[in-house]
Amino acid sequence: MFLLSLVMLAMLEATDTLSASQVSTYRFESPAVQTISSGRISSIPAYSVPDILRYSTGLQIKDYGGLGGLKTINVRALGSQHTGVFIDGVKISNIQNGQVDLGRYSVEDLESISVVNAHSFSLLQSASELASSSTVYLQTKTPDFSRPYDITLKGGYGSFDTGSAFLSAAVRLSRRAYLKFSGDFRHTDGDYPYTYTAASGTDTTARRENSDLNSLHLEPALYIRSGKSDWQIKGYWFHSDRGLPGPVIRSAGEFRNGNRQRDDNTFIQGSYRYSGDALAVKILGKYSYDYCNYLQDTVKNQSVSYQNLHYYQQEGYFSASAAYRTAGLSCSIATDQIFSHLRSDVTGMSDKFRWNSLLAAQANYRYRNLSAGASAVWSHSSDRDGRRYDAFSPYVSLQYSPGRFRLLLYWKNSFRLPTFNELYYVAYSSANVVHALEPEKTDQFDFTAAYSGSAGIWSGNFKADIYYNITRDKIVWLPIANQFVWSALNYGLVHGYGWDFSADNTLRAADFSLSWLFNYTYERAGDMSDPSSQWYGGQIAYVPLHSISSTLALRWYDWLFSANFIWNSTRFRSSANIASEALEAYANLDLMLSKRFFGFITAALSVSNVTDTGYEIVSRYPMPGTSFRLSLKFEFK
Amino acid sequence: MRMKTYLDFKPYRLLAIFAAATAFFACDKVGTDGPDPEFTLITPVESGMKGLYILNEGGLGSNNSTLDYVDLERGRYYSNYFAQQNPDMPLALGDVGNDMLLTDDYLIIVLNGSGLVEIADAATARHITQITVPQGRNIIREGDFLYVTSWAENGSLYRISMSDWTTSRVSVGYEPEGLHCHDGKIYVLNSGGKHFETGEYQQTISVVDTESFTVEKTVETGHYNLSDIICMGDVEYVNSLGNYGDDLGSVFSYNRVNDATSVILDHSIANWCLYDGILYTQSTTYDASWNPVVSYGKIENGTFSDGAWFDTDAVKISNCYGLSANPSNGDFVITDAGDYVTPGSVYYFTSAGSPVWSATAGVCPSKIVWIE
Repeated sequence: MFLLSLVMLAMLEATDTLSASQVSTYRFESPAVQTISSGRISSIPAYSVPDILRYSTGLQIKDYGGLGGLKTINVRALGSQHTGVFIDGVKISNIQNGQVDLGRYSVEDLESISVVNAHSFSLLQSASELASSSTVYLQTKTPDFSRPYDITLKGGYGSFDTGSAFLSAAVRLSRRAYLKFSGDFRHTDGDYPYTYTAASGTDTTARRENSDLNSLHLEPALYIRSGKSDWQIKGYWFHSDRGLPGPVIRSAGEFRNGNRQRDDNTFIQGSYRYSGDALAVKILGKYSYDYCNYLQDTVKNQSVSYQNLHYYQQEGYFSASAAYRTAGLSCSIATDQIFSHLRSDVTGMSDKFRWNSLLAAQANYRYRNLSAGASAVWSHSSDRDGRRYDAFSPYVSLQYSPGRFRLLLYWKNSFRLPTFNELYYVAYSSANVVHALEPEKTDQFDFTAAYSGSAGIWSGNFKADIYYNITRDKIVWLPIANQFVWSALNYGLVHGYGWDFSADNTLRAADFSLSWLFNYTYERAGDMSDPSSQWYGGQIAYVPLHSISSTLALRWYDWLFSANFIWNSTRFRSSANIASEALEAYANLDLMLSKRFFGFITAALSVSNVTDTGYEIVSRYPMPGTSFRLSLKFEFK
Repeated sequence: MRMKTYLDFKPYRLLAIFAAATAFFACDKVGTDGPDPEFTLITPVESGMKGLYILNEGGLGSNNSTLDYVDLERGRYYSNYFAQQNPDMPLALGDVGNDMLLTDDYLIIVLNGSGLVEIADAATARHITQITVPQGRNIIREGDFLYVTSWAENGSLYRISMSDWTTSRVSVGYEPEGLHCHDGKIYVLNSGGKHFETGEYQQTISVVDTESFTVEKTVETGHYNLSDIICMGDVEYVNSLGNYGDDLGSVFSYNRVNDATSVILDHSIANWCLYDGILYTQSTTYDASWNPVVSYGKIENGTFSDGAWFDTDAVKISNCYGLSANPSNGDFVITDAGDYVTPGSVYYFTSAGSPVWSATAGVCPSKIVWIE
């Protein structure tokens, strides 16, 4: 019951690690925020964060299939590199290619996952948050200081030899300090079958090979709370070793893809918050070290060339923000300093360094039901080789909140810097090919209306958005000089518009609850790059025109049943919207049944892709068919 | 059954999109049925040739290399012809078609990404067999053998027997590309295109003896990164791509007898074709800010002359990717790869350079073979 009520409350709330009493003062409710909280997370069969994010509006998940397949998200077709992903308020960075693989983050320890179009109305935001076109917040569970300890153990096993183990142990050290340790291990063989249908109608079934994954994640954290101050220090280590099965293509006889990827991600981050009556301060610091090894071996497969690449990325991050508020006016300033270093044995990328300095200011004025907000971010970056980028990106919003309605109108301008890959990696060429590459820019215009209400055992939240956005100077890879020399250019222009609708209804009685979330997204993203092209204006790759996601959860005494449904219309491999470029529409249904025993054990059985639908999200990367999973969870509080 | 192209993009349709939602189950039907291959109509051409095959490379790892068939006489353009003619092959033609050859009754296609050579029936494009050749690039026939350059094992030349389809291999220079056979000797151009990081762009031609199938000698040309070779009489014309930096490449002549070379053009060409003793060329060079500069020209009697040989006002080619002359009357086909990701275009011109027809091809249309 408690969890379900959280689901409802969280619908219109952004996440933050501030305690409940402090939250209200420095944040304003915004309908731009979609939050899925732990109650709903636990009712969806999920291996990692993208399995949950599917139940949000206006975003596409690119999924290469299986537990080890790369999973990135793209909000409103702006491009995945425009979405900032934050763990406990600190951004995850990948200076090499700008992609964050969300498949690495398991959901067991998450309190909530939020997707924010543009940015939320929290006053204490870092400059990096304000600079992102859209944001995804992963909020880990913070200790409940009223309990002396909190221990959770979970184990699961399922199809394709997929097993996982999770442990979280937290203990209260004193009235003010809480120590927590969490970790998880995941394994899969990932050798799921897939089927291709020939034009004649005959089916060919094969199995994914070299699709295994082993990952280990350990995370100690210390929380200190003292009056109006809040400290948090956290360590993080993630190690994985995975096979890259590659695309399904026609191949000669014994063709086997033996590519491997090994990762080690380590970081330590700390935060300090002070929340006074009129003044609030937040300071964040992080140091991260990421190692990645990509091996393309020719032993099993002569059809590729040998590659053994090593990447070492280091990043130092410092952020400070301060907010001040009076009765009507509130304002804040923030600065971020990011130092990134990438060393690798990739040609032309041997040793690269970037300093990125962000300065942001925010102001919000509230008068009765009306509030007006504005913010601006100035970014300066310089690479060691002399490349400099300066960009300024403003945001303005107007919100009107009569009664249970919230109406929000905003414009946000933002940008992303070219990644090191885009600047320095030129395939099959000398490093002599140097060209000017500008940051990619976006403009978003949005109108959102939300309503929340309740009557008797019913409560509901409804939200509808209509938006228009433009991506300028989109960075696209094109051949330069000849087909072997590909290079990133500011070639693309995308105009997008769409609307989405979300309804979240709950019926709740003493021993019974029924909640139903329904999302619909319409999205038209036209490729306007080349007016002379016959495909001018075509829907860009991998963005469905229509998508639906829905989750239904029924709780009756200790039983929980959930049905989770996804439908995406036809997508295209490229902006040529013709049959030969089409990926078929697909529907996916996941079911879950769980029961709680003795108040501390939860057993769950889930079936994913119940109808065994064969489909692809990324062309030539088939998704798994029906799979089963059984899990047991023990909670001691 | 072709799926309709989605509505044109117009920002003012913003207001109409609420209405669109009511019709959203309408547009998912994809697929082909019926035994007759589909085609689109083009202007028929009486040229003395029955038609042509066009090989679309596709993108690496995308398995979208396709074959188009053009019935010139009847004015029919068949897209995705190989898949249509082989409906029982779920993965169709395969990944990255790099070269194509029509010989005897065989249509032979080198699939680089798939690591094989497809042997199909010349008349119907029906699959006959496939031969494993990793990273194949270019193909020629000499006697009863096919010879394929391959990037595997640091540069190889594969030989395929056409009587029993067995293969053998000999090592040549790094990343061999074009090849040509004359009088029992195969001249293999070595590019070193993937060895640029170590400064090992190749400057050599490997001369392979067909009798012994061994490298007889390796000729230093003094030109970097060799890619294409075309023979005119006693002279081999070779295209060098340079190092994509200060060396812009060149076109030079190579004398088989004394290995002498002589520069004809001081930058590389991107596409060329031969008709009646004249090499028709297309080049893309870059200005200081890396904007492409496209030029057309001719090489005649060892001399290059600048100037377009087709009506460039009537047809705008964005990225020329293939060039071929009708061996019967000198008509031209030019392929345009567009943005290299979406399907490109094919343009047919008379020998005088007037446009006759155009059609939508597959992704990266490159090689063309003519059917008598």
